[in-house]
Amino acid sequence: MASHRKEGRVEGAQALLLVQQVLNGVQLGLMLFLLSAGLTLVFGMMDFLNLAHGTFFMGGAFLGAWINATTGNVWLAIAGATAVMLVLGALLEVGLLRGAYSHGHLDQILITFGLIYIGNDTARMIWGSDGLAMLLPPSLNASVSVLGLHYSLFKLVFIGATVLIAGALAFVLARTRIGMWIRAGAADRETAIALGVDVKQLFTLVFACGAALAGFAGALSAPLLSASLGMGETILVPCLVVIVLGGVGSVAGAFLASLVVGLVDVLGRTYATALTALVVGPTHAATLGPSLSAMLIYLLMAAVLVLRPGGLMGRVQP
Amino acid sequence: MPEIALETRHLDKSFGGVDATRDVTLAVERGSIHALVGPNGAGKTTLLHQLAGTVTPDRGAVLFEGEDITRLGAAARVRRGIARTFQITALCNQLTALEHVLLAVQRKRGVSFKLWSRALAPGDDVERALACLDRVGLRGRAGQVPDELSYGEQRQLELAIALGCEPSLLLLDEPLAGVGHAEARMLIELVRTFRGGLTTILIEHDMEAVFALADTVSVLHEGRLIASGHPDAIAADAAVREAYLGDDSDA
Amino acid sequence: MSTRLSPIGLVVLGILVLVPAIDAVAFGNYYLMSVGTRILIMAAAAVSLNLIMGYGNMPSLAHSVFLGVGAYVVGACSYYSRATGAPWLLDGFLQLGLVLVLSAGAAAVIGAICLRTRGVYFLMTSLALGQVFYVLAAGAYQFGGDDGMALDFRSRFPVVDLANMPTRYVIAVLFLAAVIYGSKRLVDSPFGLALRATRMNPRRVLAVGNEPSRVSLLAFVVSGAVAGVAGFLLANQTDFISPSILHWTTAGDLMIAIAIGGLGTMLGPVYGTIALLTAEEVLSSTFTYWQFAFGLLIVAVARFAPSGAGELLRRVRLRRA
Repeated sequence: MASHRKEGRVEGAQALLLVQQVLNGVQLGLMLFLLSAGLTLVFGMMDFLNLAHGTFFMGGAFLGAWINATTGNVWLAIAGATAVMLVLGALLEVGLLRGAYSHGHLDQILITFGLIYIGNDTARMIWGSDGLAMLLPPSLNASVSVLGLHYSLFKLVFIGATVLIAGALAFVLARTRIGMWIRAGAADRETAIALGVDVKQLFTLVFACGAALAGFAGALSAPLLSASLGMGETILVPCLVVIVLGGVGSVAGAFLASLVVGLVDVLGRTYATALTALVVGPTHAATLGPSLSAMLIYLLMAAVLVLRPGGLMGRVQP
Repeated sequence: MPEIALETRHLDKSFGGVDATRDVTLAVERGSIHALVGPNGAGKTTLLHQLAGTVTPDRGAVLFEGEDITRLGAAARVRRGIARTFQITALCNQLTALEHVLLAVQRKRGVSFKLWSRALAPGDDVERALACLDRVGLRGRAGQVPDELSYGEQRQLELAIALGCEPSLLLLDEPLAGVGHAEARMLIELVRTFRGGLTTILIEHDMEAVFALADTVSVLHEGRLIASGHPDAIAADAAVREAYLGDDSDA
Repeated sequence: MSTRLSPIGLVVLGILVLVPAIDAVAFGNYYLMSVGTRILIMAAAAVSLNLIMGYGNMPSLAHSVFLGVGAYVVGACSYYSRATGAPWLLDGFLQLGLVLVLSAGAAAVIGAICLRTRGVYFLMTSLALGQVFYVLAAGAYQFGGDDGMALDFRSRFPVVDLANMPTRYVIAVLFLAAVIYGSKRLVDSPFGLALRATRMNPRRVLAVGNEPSRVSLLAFVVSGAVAGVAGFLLANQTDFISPSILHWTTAGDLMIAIAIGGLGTMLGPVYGTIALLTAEEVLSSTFTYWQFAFGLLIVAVARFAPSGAGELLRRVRLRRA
């Protein structure tokens, strides 16, 4: 890192690192929000836990990387991946899942677990086992410098695009009639039915949009993570933490919890070793720190569950 | 001087701004049958919940055998000797009547955490459970699951389970609702036998039964205790008449 | 939900268990025995999961953790025995003791937190908490990190030699038998009665003076300890440990097996595991894209036989009768 000629320069570098890591945390948090928003709404409205939600994320990543490699157009890749996941989500909902809402949770888990297997092997058939990187054009693969801070342009685009989407989602939910129905449905299905809403179509819409958001997040993440088999199951875990933390069915809760989880995770990984060293000394910290940082978000979830079993902004659980 | 089994002091409870219990101070004599009456929505069940420990009061105290049990959980209160029945029956759909009572008997005997013996093995537990079923007139229905029992029989089962806890204080939430005429008479006779031994607090809408059974009647109206005393005195009380008539004219 | 142990089911199971043995003894083929050992151990793990899921309404995706704890105790003892030259670390009884203490301890912690929630919330919480242990194992570089490691030594018992495959098969059979018998005893016990009542109506259990969460937690701990022993046997069978055993999908597979065989039945999970893992074995050796076929199979079962294949069979039989 920077030379150590002056103390002030070191502190400056530390401050820049902090800003950078906060941005990274926000970026991770926003990505988790894209995934969790759909998951929490589907669960809130249909009482349906979609373990295969991460599969849409993986699908988006592979499709994005693939379209990008074929056409060389990043925007087309992201839009295309999102559109395909939207259609796929709608088809799945109408063709398979709609009939399973009335089944018990166990069957829902089974079906979506089976879909994970199917999704992973489909990706393997098309794109092979090795995964697919998504290469950015030079115009995007640059870094911006503000006040001595260098930060990836694409990550800034990522943050900007996600904030736009989150804003649009908030607007739709808060201000439109459909949004009102969705909120009513997520809070209480009977109310929505009483309002005369065509619940079937609403479910399809919400499920498809959730899939599209996950696909969008996947395509947007592909340049950072590169597409790989099994990435959906991996990303599902922090998403569930977000949902449990935020309170099921609450999009606002999911937003808050996503940012908390993103920041805690990234900052934890950055500073855990140094902080642990203060307590146990540098030798043990080197091994303990990384493990501890990987556990932070789960410890956070455990703490919230003990204090507020319904999540940060959740309604009271049944 | 009569001994007090249960006492409440200035109990307050509100749900979302609606007062369900307001400043209720009550004393129940040991071995007596104490009826709680009042129009619908008077707060009888909420009060019973606070005695059973399933609802925590906002303010005030509950004393059982002279000890403050306000902060004690529901299960801990059962272990101290307070058993209750539910207004809306709380049964397990796949357990037989006998198994329901065994749950209570085996908890009482401290064997609920035995992993290796058989719950239904012939012996003391089963004998006691059958005896409880016998007392409420359900011995012949020991092998039936709740769905196979009539509504009234389910109420009888609720009482049998509570007896299986071998309580010293019994909280009965409308034990006669939905019970057939003959069974109701039998249950009234059964509750009458509790007098002198088992302290009983009873919510009941059947006034005939209340006046036939109770040593003391307490009247709740809009969460407040408006009268408490001997059944004859209560029957003559003007405030009570007004509360009831007021409610009737609303309904 | 049934607490009955069907005699026909037991006889069929006995015959199934004899097939690999006969194949080995009469024809010298040890393939079935090797596959069978793993399947029977997983079947026992499924029975233990069914105990809390079927009889206790705790759909736990943290069950992988306890299998992992069992396996990693064997791995760690093997590793440190090689590193320090201490032969006593390989003592099977010592290892089993460690497995029981650690898996029960992990179950107590995970269970206590997850039991703040119920139903699908329980599932989500258990998944997330379980992954803590996956992350820990994947970061344990001395045990091979992500890749896992082959064991230097198996656990050592007097007389019994775990290096001998038929011995391991016999032990797996005995273990499964013990787990089936044990869970039958447990479900029929006063505790089992309280556990079943807790699943059906926690209010009722509370009203007779038991804390439902305490009843649930004890079941969770017992079930976790059994799964720990299964993990111990699994590591000795495969001679290999890897974090993948701790991944939540391991518990997911067990759940599928239970669902196929029939949730909350005594032998359903056993048959479910045998069916599922046999299908996996056959499919994976036949098709490149076996997971695709496997996924279709699971979706089809869940969509068209919602209470498991066992229930489907039962209904067909009832209709004929």
